[in-house]
Amino acid sequence: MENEAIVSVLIKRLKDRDQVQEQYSELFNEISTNERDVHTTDTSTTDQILDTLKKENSFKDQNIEHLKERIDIMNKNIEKLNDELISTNIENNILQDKFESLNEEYNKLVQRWLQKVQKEADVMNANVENINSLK
Amino acid sequence: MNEIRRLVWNGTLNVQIEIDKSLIISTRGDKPLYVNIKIPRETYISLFTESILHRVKDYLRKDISEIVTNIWFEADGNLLLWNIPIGTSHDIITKSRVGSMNDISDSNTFIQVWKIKLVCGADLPATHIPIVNGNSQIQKYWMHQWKQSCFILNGSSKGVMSLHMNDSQSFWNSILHRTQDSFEEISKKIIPKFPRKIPIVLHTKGQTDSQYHPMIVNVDNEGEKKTLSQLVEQFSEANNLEIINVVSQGIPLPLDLDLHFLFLVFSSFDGFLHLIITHPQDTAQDKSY
Repeated sequence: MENEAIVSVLIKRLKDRDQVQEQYSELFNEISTNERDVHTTDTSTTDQILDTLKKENSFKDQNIEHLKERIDIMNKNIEKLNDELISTNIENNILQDKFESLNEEYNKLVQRWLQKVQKEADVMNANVENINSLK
Repeated sequence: MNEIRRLVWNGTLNVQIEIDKSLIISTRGDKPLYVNIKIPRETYISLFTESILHRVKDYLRKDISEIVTNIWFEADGNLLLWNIPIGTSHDIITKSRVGSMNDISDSNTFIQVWKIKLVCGADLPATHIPIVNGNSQIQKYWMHQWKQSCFILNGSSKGVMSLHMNDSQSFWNSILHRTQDSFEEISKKIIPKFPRKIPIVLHTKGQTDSQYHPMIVNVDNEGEKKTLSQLVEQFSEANNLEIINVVSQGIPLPLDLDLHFLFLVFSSFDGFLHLIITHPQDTAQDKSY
């Protein structure tokens, strides 16, 4: 008896649930799992055109994807080139500094050498003058 | 009991599905595109994906076959798992629940609609099982569920494994074509009169976070049948059972029910009894829903 009471309670609750769902349920169409098969017989010209255009559209979409990928690769290449340009610039600056310091050192050496040669020439001249005066 | 099974099998949901804007041709502007359908509670929503898309095929940017593998459903921005019966997902996600028309103040204008979204994208959500093989993949998943259920009920999956090919196919067809008689006839071959354990899926907080598969014996050592309240005691975080609501098939259940009886009348089409534990703050009724 108790079981029967429970069953009737459950039935009432389920019916109430369905009643709530049924309110204006005519706005919602029933759906089956194979609707695609039911309608495939309808192949009017418009449908055929639509199908072709959809294929064309998806082809264009694929093209866009490919082009986007290419742009991405190009952008990465540009980034790489920029990096290389920057590193070459830095290298150039360092070499420029080195060149300037070497140039300065070279000038100093030339100066010192000239001074040394000048001194030697002066000594030689003095010797020659001495010899001439002795004669 | 048959009357309850009939009501459980025939239960439906009014669903409004918004189609992802990225799928629609641009001539429609920014206007959203909806499909309103009445879907059985006892089914997987993904079985209907192609049919739903077919209803709006004139507005789609691509051919259905191209996009169907990249589609999933969302409700309130959360992924809707297709591998849970849609009625159960609805009961888990929908917080407000209207018990009967008597609870509604203005019954003339009231309408119950579940709004969900059909989403398409290249990156599928993490917990979504990708459907790459259409309905045959769903069929395999469903048969696997039945094997598990059969194992829990009988201690072996023989019942399902030894089904005749024709029976197997008509079992699946009964889901596709909504034929209850053939479903009940074949499921009777799998479900024993006195099961060892009851296959239950317990949803406590959401679809994935707190899903339990408790192994509940039908009759304990003292010869007593297990009741719903004993199960709830074990898994609910709340101390007071009186504030807990257990929902299945869209209705709250009395806690003193015997689990075997509950399984016989309320089990889902995947061979499991799906129970949802909710707390009062989750089920605050919203009359305007």
